[in-house]
Amino acid sequence: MFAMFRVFFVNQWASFLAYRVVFFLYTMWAVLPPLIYLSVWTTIAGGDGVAGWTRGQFVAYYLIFMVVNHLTGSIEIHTVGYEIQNGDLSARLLLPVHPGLRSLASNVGYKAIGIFVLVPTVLLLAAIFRPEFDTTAPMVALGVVSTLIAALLQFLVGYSVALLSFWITRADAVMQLNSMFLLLLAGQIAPIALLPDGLRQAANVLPYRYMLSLPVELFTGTLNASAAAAGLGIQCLWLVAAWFLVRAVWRRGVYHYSAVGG
Amino acid sequence: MRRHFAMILVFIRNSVQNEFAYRVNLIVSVLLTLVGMVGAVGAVLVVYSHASSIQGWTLTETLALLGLFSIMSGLLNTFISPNLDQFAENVRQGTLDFVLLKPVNSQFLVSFQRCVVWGLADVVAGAAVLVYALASGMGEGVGVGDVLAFGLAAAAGTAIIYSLWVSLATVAFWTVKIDNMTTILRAFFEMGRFPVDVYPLWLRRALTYLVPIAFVTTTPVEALGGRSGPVVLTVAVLLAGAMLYASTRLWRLGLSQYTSASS
Repeated sequence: MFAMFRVFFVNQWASFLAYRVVFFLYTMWAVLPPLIYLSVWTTIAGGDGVAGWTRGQFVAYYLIFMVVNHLTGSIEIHTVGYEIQNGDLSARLLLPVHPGLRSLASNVGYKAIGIFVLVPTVLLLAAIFRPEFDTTAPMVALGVVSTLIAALLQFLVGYSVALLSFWITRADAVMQLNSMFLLLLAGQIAPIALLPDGLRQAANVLPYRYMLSLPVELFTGTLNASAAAAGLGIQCLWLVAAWFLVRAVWRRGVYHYSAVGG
Repeated sequence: MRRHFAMILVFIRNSVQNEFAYRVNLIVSVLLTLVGMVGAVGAVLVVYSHASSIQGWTLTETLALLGLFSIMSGLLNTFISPNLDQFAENVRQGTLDFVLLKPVNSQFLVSFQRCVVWGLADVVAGAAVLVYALASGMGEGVGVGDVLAFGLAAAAGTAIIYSLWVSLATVAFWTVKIDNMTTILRAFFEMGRFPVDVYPLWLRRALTYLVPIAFVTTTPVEALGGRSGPVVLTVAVLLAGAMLYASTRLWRLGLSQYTSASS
């Protein structure tokens, strides 16, 4: 299975490389929207800080947010959704391997190629805004683990939504709805800790925080040990839930599928 | 001029008839607009729960600006971007020939041929937020002159957006494969949902001189609050005129490069 994944990855990587400029432009979407809120919060924080956060902490939070945003983002509505709509999925179903493996390779390839423009951009922004880090090695390690889980979680959710294309023509609208919740409840407009009580409690229960914000909170060291453990626990629960969701949707969808075109 | 106006009406009627074949899209779009607007207003409220004013901008002023941003975004999604997205495809496939054969200015036809009426939901939602902001405090002291200045600045802003999109789309004449170039423009446009004053100086300069989004939302709302003087308004109008002119020049230049794809 790993060998097959490698073949898919090399294949996808090569095809993405041909369109690298386009992919670099897409990567900017992981950077520019958080830059809006980075600016807003650093302006508010000014010299004295706000709600216990200093200016430099906001900078560190949002710069890491940009990286995690890119590394966890789901592109399945464009790749898988499109395959279903134009019937390309039919050929993939004939291979003796689940088409999801190819989609996963495509997802990883997209992220790998974006890194080449993302890292210089974030370093440049770091030189301009000057972040303040106050974190520990164990928290960074947990952040790495949490980023992987978040990426997998977003992949599974994105895949499930893309599979809705089996039944409806506007699955992209469902995905748009999903990204609106990600904007509001996954630490983009403000770090979760700064949300009003009601929203913060909702954010702690709903999956969105675990799809994007939790790794950022871990990397920046804003969580204490018990909050980190609880966060990772809930994140794993959502991952399991997403796994069952995608399996259920896939089974029903494939039975329903009657290829478009030939 | 009257002929062009009549044609735009025909294009709209045509598009509405087309779009109404997909009625579920209406519900989906309205739902997305509503959720998006609640989210956008929520974001502003969260920010202002930690500050009473940001760089001199109060909550109601920022809400008014968000309303205008949503109106602009709706116009962009209804009229400008559906057409110019199609344009890149037309150049690639050579179907631009059909546009050029018609006895009408080609830039006009390419810019207004189709519209996606659902984008107007954003215009309505944005207008509602703008009116709410005016009704809850910001409206005090706003005179007829301020409203006229706002209208003028907003019209200039619309012209600037249009020129930016046309200019970048025109690049397709040379590169053929550029359909995602407007992606970057849209990411900058998104920055218009907050007053440019919240951005650091270098970014504010970029948003004023490089990609002049500052004139699209910030200047009109400042005019409404009586904060931008005649100088800024004049600059906005002159810039809009210059950019419109430049975009038509660029269009002609690009058109002379066009050799069609195949036949």
